Amino acid sequence: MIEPITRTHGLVNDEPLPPAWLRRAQTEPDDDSTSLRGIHRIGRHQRFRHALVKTIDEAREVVMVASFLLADEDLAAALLRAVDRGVRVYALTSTEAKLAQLPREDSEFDARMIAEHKALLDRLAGRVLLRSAGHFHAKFLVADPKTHPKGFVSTANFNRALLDSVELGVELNRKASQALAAWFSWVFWTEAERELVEKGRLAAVKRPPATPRLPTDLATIVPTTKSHHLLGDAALRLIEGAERQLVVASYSLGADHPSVDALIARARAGVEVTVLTRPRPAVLAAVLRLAEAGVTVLAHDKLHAKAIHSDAGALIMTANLETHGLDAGFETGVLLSGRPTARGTQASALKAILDAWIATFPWRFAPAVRPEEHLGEVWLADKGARDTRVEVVETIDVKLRSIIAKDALDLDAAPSPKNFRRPRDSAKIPRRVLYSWKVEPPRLPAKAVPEERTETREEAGKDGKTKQVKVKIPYNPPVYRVGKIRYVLLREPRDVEPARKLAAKLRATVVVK
Amino acid sequence: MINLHRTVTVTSFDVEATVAVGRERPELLAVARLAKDLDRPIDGADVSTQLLGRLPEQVGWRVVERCVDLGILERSGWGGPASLSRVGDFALEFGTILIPEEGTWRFYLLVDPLVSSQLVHCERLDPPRANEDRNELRSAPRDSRGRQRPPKSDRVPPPITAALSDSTIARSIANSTSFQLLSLPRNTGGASGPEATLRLELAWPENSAPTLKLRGQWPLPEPPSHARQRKQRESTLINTMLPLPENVASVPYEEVWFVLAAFGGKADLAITREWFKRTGRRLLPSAFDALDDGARTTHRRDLPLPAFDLGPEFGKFESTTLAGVDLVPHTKDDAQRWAEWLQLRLLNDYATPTTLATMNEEILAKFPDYLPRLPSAQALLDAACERPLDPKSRFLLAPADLGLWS
Repeated sequence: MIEPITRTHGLVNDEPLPPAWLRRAQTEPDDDSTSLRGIHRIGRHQRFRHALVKTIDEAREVVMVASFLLADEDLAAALLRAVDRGVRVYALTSTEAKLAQLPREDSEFDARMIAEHKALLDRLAGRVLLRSAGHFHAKFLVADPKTHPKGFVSTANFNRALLDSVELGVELNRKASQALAAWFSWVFWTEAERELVEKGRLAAVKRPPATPRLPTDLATIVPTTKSHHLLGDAALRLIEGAERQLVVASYSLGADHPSVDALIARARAGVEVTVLTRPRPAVLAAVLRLAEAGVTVLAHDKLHAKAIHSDAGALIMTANLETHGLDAGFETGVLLSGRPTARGTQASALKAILDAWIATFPWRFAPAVRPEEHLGEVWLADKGARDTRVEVVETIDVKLRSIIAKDALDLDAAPSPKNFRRPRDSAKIPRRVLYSWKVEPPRLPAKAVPEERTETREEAGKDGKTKQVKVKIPYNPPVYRVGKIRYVLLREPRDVEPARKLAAKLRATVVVK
Repeated sequence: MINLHRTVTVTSFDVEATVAVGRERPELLAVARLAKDLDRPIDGADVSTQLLGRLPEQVGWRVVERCVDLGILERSGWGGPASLSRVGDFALEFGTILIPEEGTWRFYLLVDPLVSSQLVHCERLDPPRANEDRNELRSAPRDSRGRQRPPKSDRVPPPITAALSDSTIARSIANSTSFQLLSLPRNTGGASGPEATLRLELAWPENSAPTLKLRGQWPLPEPPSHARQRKQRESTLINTMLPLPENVASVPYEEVWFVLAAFGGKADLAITREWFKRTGRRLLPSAFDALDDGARTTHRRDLPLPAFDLGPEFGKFESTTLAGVDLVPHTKDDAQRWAEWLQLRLLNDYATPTTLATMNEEILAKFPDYLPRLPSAQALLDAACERPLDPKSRFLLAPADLGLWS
């Protein structure tokens, strides 16, 4: 008879999001279908991994392998095959104590990886001469440096990262391989702390019988050791030398590190600076600073590569842009040749890879984006990979409780809700919130009692005379009351007008049953 | 230090005898000292004046007579001054006066070529009480006529009769008391007592005189039955230095060492002596194969010696060890193999040609009388390349592969 009406109210959400990574593309594994100028990527073809295994399999005398973590099954099998051929295998890895301190915020260093690393060391014990130190972080491979030198520097640890991480590997020329072997020797003799002497037993390293010679060729391999900061110097030189364009990839970023300061300075000087990293809470402070300075910060869930490309040159390295890497630890970097060949330069090959990453990386950092500027998935920058993601959506519909109008014949006069609260769904951030509610007619209270009107009539008395008599007659439409409040009950559509008039007359409220 | 030892048996014999036992009698020692100081026969006036505060001379004579009775002083005739006797001189030396005592004595005898005095101790046995004696007689075995059989008697052992005839003044190895056997009954024997085993140790330090020590314990005489209720010690602890016979003490240390080393090392005694003549060192020529790793490394070993006989003057000794025997290769081949073994043994850390050369020099210095040839650093490296997984190979391969050899 009197149907409820629906009313709505819309609110635009212009509250900026907290610092966040905005989804700009799907997360895809990297593409390693081709290798340019000896620069490798990691992907389903496993070209880089196969190149490493092949190098070990072709070694005749010596293999030197360095990796923060060492747990790749194919590589391990190749090393043991080399040992069986009479090849001497030397290895440098991090210490168990250092591994125990690693952050667990992402899959890079999960417990299973560390367990695989330890299991592999047990297999190598007694066959491979392995030394470790807490500051060893470099990843590289050198074979036969004296006779048939061949080498690779890898940003990937020699473990599952060779299968599914976003990394870079660079094949070295003869001189660079020999220089890298010399750095391996230097660190092996002067900086290693423990030596694997048997399964499960690492003994303290004693003084070497002589001091190894430092490499004289510093043109290509630039390391960080306890007494050398060539890598940090080279990285800063490339950043500070950028005039037009600068691209940096780094898994980790030290917010207060001079290299980050230099990136900011170049961005403020008008250089187009792009930083590629991995979305982790640990990089938040640094990327906030970078973004504020106008740096474009992009990220990939699996990025672990470390590289710099600028107008001043190009570098692939094992160090992140932070103190432990550029100022301390054992790290290596390869300054890429800018010498042009028919097929371009190594530097240009790196640039091509970085450009491809810039085009496809799935996340863009935004320090305070408003919902109207982004629609879709958001990774709050203080959350880890295992935390729930957030999505910016166009509209969220919020249904509010119904409102009872004061009069059944005047639903439009019902007031709107006083407070429109934001919905509690933390997984979705709306651009607009649409609130809706029903306005319903009031109902006759259950306690209401009927009320009748009094009418005076003339009746013939016993004596035949006419007399005045008061009689009770029901209202039509019926009237009820609760205390002093009167209600006119609307029973049929045709009663609308009589009810309106009667209510006006009696100062009553029109209600329905 | 040479340490030799053997087990010896001390026998005992019980017999009635008169034994002068050393007692502390300072008043009589003063008389002996007076006779010694005056160096002439002394009389009653000497004693009275010098020792008795001018008591009457008669008193002095009484003292002189007592000393003559005890043998401290002696005179040729009857009466008159008396001079210091051998016994008196002994008393002054040991500070005790030998006082004769009659009774049943247990004499302890040790017959050994290294022990000069075979009578090593005597101890007076407590006499039984009269009723114990009577009971013993009653229970003694009797013949067919019921007459008591004479008790079984053993002949007195020769060392005891010799001590009597030689007037030997002996010193007890148990308590250092001096004693002298003065008389034995003519026709009666005695009875053998219990035996005990002791350890005789001959120690020969390299730069001082050898010493002889007797150690162990022997049982004390069983007390008579009336005294058995008292709790007593059951044995006497012996730990006494004994004088060595001169003919033994005068043997040079080296000679004993040569004999023992040659015996234990199955080496030729003459060659062993020859090495000493040539080098001035006591060296035992040894075959490389006969040595364990420790001896090969240190050129020294503790040489086990099985039981052996060093002849009538020394006697037989039980198995022992000749400690710290310096070794020398027996042959040139032994020296070559030994040096090569040492080279490998000492290669226990990473090495360079320089450290290997130093190591080789140190090894060759241990074989000055031979000229072994050691493999060069390169030869060692070549060998290591052939056996890269040998635990020692890494000490050569790693420095060579990782920049320390060039």
